[in-house]
Amino acid sequence: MASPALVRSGTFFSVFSLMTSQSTPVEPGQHLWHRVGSVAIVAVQLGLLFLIFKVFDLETQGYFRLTPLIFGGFIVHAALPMRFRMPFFLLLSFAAFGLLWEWNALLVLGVGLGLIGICHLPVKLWARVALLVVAGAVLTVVRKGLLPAANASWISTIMPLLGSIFMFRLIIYLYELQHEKTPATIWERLSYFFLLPNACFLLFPVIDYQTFRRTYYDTDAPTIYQKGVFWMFRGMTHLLVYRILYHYVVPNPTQVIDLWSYVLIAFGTYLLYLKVSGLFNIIVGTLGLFGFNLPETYHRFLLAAGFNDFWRRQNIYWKDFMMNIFYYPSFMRLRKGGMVFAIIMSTIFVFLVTWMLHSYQWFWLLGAFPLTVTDAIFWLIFGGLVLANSLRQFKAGKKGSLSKPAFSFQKAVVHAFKVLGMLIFISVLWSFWYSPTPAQWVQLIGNAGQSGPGAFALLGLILLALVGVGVAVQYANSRGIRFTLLDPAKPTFSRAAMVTSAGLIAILALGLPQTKAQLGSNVSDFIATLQYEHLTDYDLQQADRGYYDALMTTNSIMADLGAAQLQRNPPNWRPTRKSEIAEATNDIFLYRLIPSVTATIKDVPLTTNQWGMRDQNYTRTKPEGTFRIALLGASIEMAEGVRGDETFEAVTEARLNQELPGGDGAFARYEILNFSVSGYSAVQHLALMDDVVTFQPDMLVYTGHSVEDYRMLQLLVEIIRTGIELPDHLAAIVQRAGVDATMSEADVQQGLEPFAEEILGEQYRRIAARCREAGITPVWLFVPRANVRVHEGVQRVPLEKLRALAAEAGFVVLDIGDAFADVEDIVGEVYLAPWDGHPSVYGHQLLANRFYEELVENGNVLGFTAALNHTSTIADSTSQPLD
Amino acid sequence: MSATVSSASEIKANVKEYILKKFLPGENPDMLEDSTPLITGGVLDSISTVELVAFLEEQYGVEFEAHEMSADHLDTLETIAATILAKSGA
Repeated sequence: MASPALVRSGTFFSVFSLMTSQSTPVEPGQHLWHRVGSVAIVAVQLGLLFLIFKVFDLETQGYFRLTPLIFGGFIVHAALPMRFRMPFFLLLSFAAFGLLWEWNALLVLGVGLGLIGICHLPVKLWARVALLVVAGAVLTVVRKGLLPAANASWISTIMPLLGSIFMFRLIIYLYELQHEKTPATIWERLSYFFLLPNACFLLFPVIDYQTFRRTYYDTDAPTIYQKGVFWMFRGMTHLLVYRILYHYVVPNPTQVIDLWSYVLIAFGTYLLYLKVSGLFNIIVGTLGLFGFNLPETYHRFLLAAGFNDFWRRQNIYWKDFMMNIFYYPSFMRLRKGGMVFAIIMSTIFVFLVTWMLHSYQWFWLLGAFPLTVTDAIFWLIFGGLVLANSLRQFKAGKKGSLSKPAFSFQKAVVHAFKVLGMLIFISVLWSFWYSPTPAQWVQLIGNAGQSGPGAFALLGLILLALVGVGVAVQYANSRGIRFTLLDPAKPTFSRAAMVTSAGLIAILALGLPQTKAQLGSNVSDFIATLQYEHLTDYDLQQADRGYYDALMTTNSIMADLGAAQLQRNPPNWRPTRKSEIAEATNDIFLYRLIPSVTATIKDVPLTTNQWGMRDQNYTRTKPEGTFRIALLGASIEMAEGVRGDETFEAVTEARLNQELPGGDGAFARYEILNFSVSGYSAVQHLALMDDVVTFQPDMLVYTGHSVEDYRMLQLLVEIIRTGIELPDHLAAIVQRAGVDATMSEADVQQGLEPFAEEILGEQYRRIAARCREAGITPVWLFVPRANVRVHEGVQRVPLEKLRALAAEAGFVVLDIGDAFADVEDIVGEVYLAPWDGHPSVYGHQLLANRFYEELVENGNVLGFTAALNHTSTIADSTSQPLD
Repeated sequence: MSATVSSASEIKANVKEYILKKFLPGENPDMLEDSTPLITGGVLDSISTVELVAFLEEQYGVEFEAHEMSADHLDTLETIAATILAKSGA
C-alpha cells in the first residue's frame, strides 16, 4: 500500500501524467499503458452504467444531468498530477451544484463558508459552538418559514440542500478540528462539505472527516476507481431490485388479510431499504472515481446474526458517527461510575440521540420534525436489545477469531438460526416502524393471525428449510466454495472489472427494445414496468388524497420513496379538503366547496363562484345562443395551484370563444362550467348530476383517469366506515360484498375490490342515463396524469377496461392521453411542483390544446359545431349512437 | 498497577497477550501480527475497545481521550504501542 505522501508527490503535468509521474502509486513493473488501459476500462464501465441509468430511468433527473460532468471529470481528474486533483474535484463539485441549483448554489456557498468560518474563529470552543447554535436557530426560523423573507422561493429551495451538507458534517468537522494532527488544505476542507454527488442526492451518508482524509488515494488509483464503479453498479442493482419489490412483491396495508400477505409486507418492507443502500452505494462509488477510497456504507446487513452485529452492518457511517461523537465521549465521562454504568448510560444516550437526529434530519430535509410514538417504541426496543447484548458481551467477553474456524454442524445450525431469527425480528420491527400508528400495525398482525394452524406449520417448515440452506452454505464455505463473485469490500481490479462489465452488459441488453422483442410480451412488459419511476396505485391514491404529508413524516413505503427524492409538500401545500374553501358534509360527498370564497391553495388564490364551482360566475339559466358544457372531474380539472384563467377548462373555453363563433351555424358563445372537485370520484359525480342538469348543459364531459376505480373504492370505504347512508343501488352492492361500518379499512377494501368494476360501471350507466334524459350529450374524456407515464405501451391500469365501461354506458369516448407525450422532462415541465404531480400552467396548456382539438375534430358528432365542416373521428371507434 | 514503559516490543507483546486472552481465546498467537487490523478488521468492537483502553490506562498509567478511541490510535499492535509511547513521552 502506497503512502499518501508518495501518492501526492506528482511533479509534472501531462495529459497522461497519471502514468508518467509519481502522482499515483506505481506498482513495480506496472507499464504506462497498463495504467492508461485501467482508466479506460473503468471509463467504459462508467459509460455503460450511465446508459443503464438512462434506459431504466434510474434515479433523479439531477443525477442524470450530472453524468457528462462526472464522466468527463473522471477522465480529466485521473490525468491530472496529484496536487491538482483535489482542487479540480472541488471545482467539479461547484460546477455540479451550479448546474443543478443555478444561482442558488452561490447562496449555499456563501452561507456554507460562513458556517465553516465560524468553526475557525480564534475564540474558545464553547464560543464557536454558541455561534453555530445561534446560526442554526436563525436557519431553523428560516426553514420554518417564520421570516417574511423566508417565503421567497429561492430561500426555501436551498434549505434542504444546506441541511443536507451541513447538518451532520459540521458537527463532525468541529469535533475533529480540535484534534487535527496535520492541518488539512483548504481544498480538503471545502471538498469535505461540497461533495459532488451531494448536489443531487440530499439524503447523504454521514461521511467521517478523518476517514475522508485518511482514505484519499490510500491505495493505487485504478483499484479505487474500479471499486467506485463496482459500487455504483451494485447500487444500481439495488435500485432495480427495489423496483421489483415495490411493484410486485410488497402488498399495501389494505391487502394484508392473512399470514402470507403479512410475511410479504414485513419482509418486503424491510427489503425496500435497498433503495437507500442503493443510493448510498452510488454516492460513495461516485466519490471513489475521484480517489476517495471510502469504506462500505452497508455490509450484508441481511446476514446479521445479532443486534450488535446488525447495528455494525446497517448504515455503518451512522454507527461510526454515533460512536465517535457521542458514545465514546459520554463513556469516558461516565466511566468513573463503573464500566457497566458507563455502558448502560452511553448506549441509552446514543439511541436517544439517534432518535432525535432522525427527526432533526427530517426537519432539515423535509421541513417537519416528526416525534411519533412508533418511532419512540422502535428505538426503545432496538436500543434496549443492543444494550442487553452489550452487557452480555461485556460480562461473557468477546469471542472473536482471526483464523477460519473448522466447520461444526452444531455451530452452523446455531448461526443459521441466529441469522434467520434476526431477519424475522427486524422485519417484524420494520413493519411496525413503517406503520403510521401502532394500532394499524396491531391490525396487520391480527389479520395475519386469522390464518389457520396449517399456514403457520407450513411457514415453520419453510423456515426450517432456510436454516438447512444456511447450514449448507456454511459447509460449502468451509470447503472453499464461495457463492459470491467477489468481496465487495476489497474487490480486485480485474475480477471487479469482469463482474461489473458482464453485469452491466446483461442489464443494458435487457433494457433494449430489440432484446425485449425476443423475450415475449409478458417478460417484455415486466421489464418495461421497471424502466420508469412510478408509484403503486395505493401510494398514488394516498398522494392524491393529500395524505402525502402524513406519510412523509412517518416511515411508510411512500416515505422511503419520497425521502430519497426529497420532494415534500411545503407546510402550506394543503389539499382542498383541508382548506377553508371546503366544508365537511355528512353525506355521500363527504365535503363540498363553499360558494363565493377565496383561499390560497398551493400558493395560488382559488375562488369559487356563487354556485360553489371553481370557476367564473355563470347564470343558472343558459343564455340564448350559448353552447354549454358541464365538466365533471377531480383535482386535475379543479386545478389547484394554477390561476382560474390558466386551467385547461378555462383556456379551452377562451379558445372556443375566440376561434369558433361567427361561423355558419356555430354558436355565439361557449361556456364550460367546471363542476370538478378535488378528490371526487364517480360516486360523487353521479350524486352531482341532480345539480348539473339544472344548468341546462348541452354536453357533459366526464373526465376519466388512471386508477379511477381504485380512487372510487377508497372514498367508498370511507363513506361506509363513517356510516353515511348510501343510495339504494350502492347499498345493494355493499350488502352483497358483506361489508359494513364495523369492519376495518382493510377488510372493507378487500370486500369491495371484487365489485369495483361493477360499481364503476353502474355509476357510468346512471350518469349517461341522466344525460340522455335531459338531452345532454355524455362524453367520457380520458385525461392523463402527469405522474402516471405511459411508457412503451405499458399502461399502469387497464385503460381499455375503463374505456369499454364508458362506451357500454353510452358515453362518447374521447382521449387526450397523449397530451404530455412529447415532453422530455415531465417533472420539470409538467409537474406543478417537484413534490406535486398535478399539471403546471404549461401542463394545462398542453391539456387544453388536445381538449380543443378533440372537441373541434368531433364537433359534428358532439353537436356544437354542427354547421361547421368538420369530419367526425370518433364514430368509427368507441362512440355510441346518441339519442 | 502501572507497568514501566520500556519499549515498543514489550508493549506489543503485553497487549498481544491481553487481546489473545480476552478477545481471541484459543486463537493461534501467530495469527495476531503487529499489523493485524483490530478495529477495521472487526476484532475490536465498541465494547472491547473501551475494555482495551481501560487495560492500557491501568497498565501504562496513561490517559486516553475520547477521540483517541479510533483506528488511528488503536487499529494495530504497532499503532497501540506508538500511542502508548507518545503518551508516556518515551
